[in-house]
Amino acid sequence: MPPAKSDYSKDLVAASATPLILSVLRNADSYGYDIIARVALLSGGKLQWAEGMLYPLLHRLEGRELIKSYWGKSDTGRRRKYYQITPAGEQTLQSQRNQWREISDFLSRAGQAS
Amino acid sequence: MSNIPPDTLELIERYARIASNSDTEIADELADHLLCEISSAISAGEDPTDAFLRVSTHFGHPAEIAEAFAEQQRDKQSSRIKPMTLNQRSALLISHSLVWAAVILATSAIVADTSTGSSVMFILLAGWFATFFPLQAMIGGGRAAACAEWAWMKRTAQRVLPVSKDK
Repeated sequence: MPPAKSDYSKDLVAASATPLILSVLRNADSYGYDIIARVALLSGGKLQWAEGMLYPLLHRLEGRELIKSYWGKSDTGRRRKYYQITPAGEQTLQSQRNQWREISDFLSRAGQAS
Repeated sequence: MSNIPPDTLELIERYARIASNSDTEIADELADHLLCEISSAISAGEDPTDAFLRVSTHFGHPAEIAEAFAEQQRDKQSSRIKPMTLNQRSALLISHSLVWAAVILATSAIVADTSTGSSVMFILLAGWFATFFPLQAMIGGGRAAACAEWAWMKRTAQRVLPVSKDK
């Protein structure tokens, strides 16, 4: 999991890394640098991963067949590795989104009850 | 990315090589990331060496990244190994016992004198031990089976080999 240099706790960042990566890839195929840039943009700069640790996580997700990779080329002609979400990844994303939503609801209700 | 000087490119490639455990594909992937960031920093007016130091520091310690990749590889390999079924484990252990029993019996038929028998016994035991390590690695958790097989081997050896007869 990419530990954070951000406003959020390390555990929270680690838990959210997989659904965030899958969410970014659900919109379009992407590569490491771009995934980090998109996540930073979406979080308004609050979520900044230790970038190098993203790559072992991407490889892990690929090993679990949630994403797959292919080599393409950058604008400068240098080869670049792109990642694409798989159907299993889509299912996992949906499941994790539901879980996050439920946790968020629990937190809201717990706050109202107290 | 043509704005990156050759010495900075070399630093990037060296960093990527360490962080990837010299895996060419991973090194290329990491280098691509560093090149993107350093190139845009240089375009924004930053000194190439300063950009490399800042970007690589933020990217992470190469040894930690290398370790994370190594761990990921270990997990991948261990998930590929399918555990053996109980029947497969039993068959493997029985075959192992039978092969060694046959070797001991055949040896006892050939070796007649006591001194040669002692040496042969020692070599056979060493051989049996040596073959048990990969066997145990394959079946996993075979310690109890190894002890049982060892006891059986000892009884057989004492009955059959000349060195055992003397005792």
